[in-house]
Amino acid sequence: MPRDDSSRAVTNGPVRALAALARRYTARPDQTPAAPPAAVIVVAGALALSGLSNPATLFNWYLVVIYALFALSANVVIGWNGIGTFGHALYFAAGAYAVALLATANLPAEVLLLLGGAVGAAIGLMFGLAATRTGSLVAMAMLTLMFAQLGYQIVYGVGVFGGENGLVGIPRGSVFGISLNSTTAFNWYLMIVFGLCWYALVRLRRSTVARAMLAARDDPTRARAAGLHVTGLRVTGFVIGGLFAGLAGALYAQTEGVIGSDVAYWTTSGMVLIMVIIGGTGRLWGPVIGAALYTWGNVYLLNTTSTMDVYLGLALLLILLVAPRGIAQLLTSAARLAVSGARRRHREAGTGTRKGNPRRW
Amino acid sequence: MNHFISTLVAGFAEAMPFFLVGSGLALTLGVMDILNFAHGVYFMIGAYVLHALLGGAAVNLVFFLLACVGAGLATAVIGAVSERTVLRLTYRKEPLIGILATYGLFLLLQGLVIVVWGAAPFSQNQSFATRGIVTIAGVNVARSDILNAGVGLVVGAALYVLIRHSPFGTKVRAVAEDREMASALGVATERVSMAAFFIGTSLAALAGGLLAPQVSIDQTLGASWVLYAFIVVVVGGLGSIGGSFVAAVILGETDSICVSYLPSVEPYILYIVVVVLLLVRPRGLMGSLRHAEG
Repeated sequence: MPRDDSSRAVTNGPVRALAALARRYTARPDQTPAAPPAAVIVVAGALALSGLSNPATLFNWYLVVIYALFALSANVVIGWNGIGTFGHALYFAAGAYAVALLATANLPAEVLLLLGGAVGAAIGLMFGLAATRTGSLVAMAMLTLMFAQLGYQIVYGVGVFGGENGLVGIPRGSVFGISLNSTTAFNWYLMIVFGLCWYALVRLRRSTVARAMLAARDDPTRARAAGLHVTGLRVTGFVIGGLFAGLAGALYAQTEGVIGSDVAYWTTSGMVLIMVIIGGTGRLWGPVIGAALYTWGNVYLLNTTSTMDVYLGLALLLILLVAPRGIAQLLTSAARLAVSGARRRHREAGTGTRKGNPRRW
Repeated sequence: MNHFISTLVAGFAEAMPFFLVGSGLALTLGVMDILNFAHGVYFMIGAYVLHALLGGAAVNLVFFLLACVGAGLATAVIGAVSERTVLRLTYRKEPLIGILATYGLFLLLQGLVIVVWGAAPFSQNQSFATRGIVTIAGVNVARSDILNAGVGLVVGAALYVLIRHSPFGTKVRAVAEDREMASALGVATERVSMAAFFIGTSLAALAGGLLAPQVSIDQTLGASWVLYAFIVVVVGGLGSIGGSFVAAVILGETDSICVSYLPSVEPYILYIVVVVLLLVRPRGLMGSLRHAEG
């Protein structure tokens, strides 16, 4: 869609301002469409989930999808903003508890989901405003941790949240009148929510705002000189991160049916951080890989050993010191090497008619 | 009134382990600009080593203190090794990688503790001299509180002399102020870093040994004590040892007063103090602007 169509269609001030804002937060028009891949993810994911018969396996794949969304949300703050956040557990927990506490209100599942996201975004906004009062990354990591722990103490101590035992019996509810208690319906619901979030994040990642966030991450001083509002961009990252973490938390509550205060403890933030770092911050699919590896690695290690922390720590250190952009970076460079190697062999064999990139004449 | 005074004394005694752990973290943070998530694990290892040395048995005070020192030194070796092997590799990289690497170290060391000592909790008996309560001028004071307060004050004084009035302390402060300039002036910055890390770790482990009779020795100690260390350092100001003393006393007294008079607020009070203080003064009580603006 050409860019000027949308701006010509709107005439009055506030609407035009909103349209301009929307354009800043979505992709530029000259880029590849994001909707078809997202649709493929939804359909393929839902069909694959429906093909699983073992309930334990199915449940672990649900966790992979939820943690993938959670890791994608954390990647906005860690990868795009370059801020080490230890507050993510609380946004996730906020989304989950919002769903759990409103379960008695008989709201449709999609409304609960959006409320969970909104609560996560609101807490993200609070954390962002408070943490970005300092410019130091060390202080920001500590501040997010402190705020999240205050939240944890509240979740743990205040009776409404059920304390250590948490809240149980959270219903899955229904979407547009379709009950989510059937496995097939829930598979589609989960994958559609994930696909929509994926689509939104792809559009966001290509937007002017995300590019400005990367600029502010790489060199805050230069970004400021170029007229970017660095603090504002950081807070924006916290809000986006909080929104998607809240959505992931809401999905978690709907999937598990049970939620306990340990979800809000700071080690949950550590967990999602491991997923993001191991998977890789440079690509959107990096955190998804990280989430899948973490979830299944966890299942495997829990079955075989009591010492998974050792392996997690070693894996995290290895990735950080050897390939700080994670497995995504390793895979991308490997693919690039393979492609260039194949091209060279192709040329050397004399079968190629053109040298170099065939698209360039 | 006597109740209030004994509350204050208990608060001060409670503050001293906070101070030991926090000042250790402040030292490493100041010298190396590294926020060490593994710091709480050193506390935990200190408690485990003390239990291993004494086998959980009650001993007399001298042996207990010797075991505390032994736990501190043994753990400090682990700390120095982890600095040399892992953290040194991150110094030239982005600060975010350094922070995350210490989290990896946290997981690794915590996992190793479970490998070595198992997942079941241990308990350590009080030494004979620190059991029960003593009444001084009508004020009830727990004997273990006297020990904690005494050790905290002695170590604090020693740390003050070491950092402010010794050649080594001058080097530490020089490296904390400006690593490159200190290096250009002939300070062996790497050796100073490792020594600072050794001392910082031993302080955390000493606190762990000291508190071992009062806590359940299990693998959750690391995650909770790194938070206490962070709270102290954030309130006191990043990298300020004097600030961590003041912060620890404020936090210990606040907590103790809440335990006595406002028990319902007690779980939140430390974090409330932190959050309020940070909103008013983001760089902490005695923090330098360098660490706040970084």
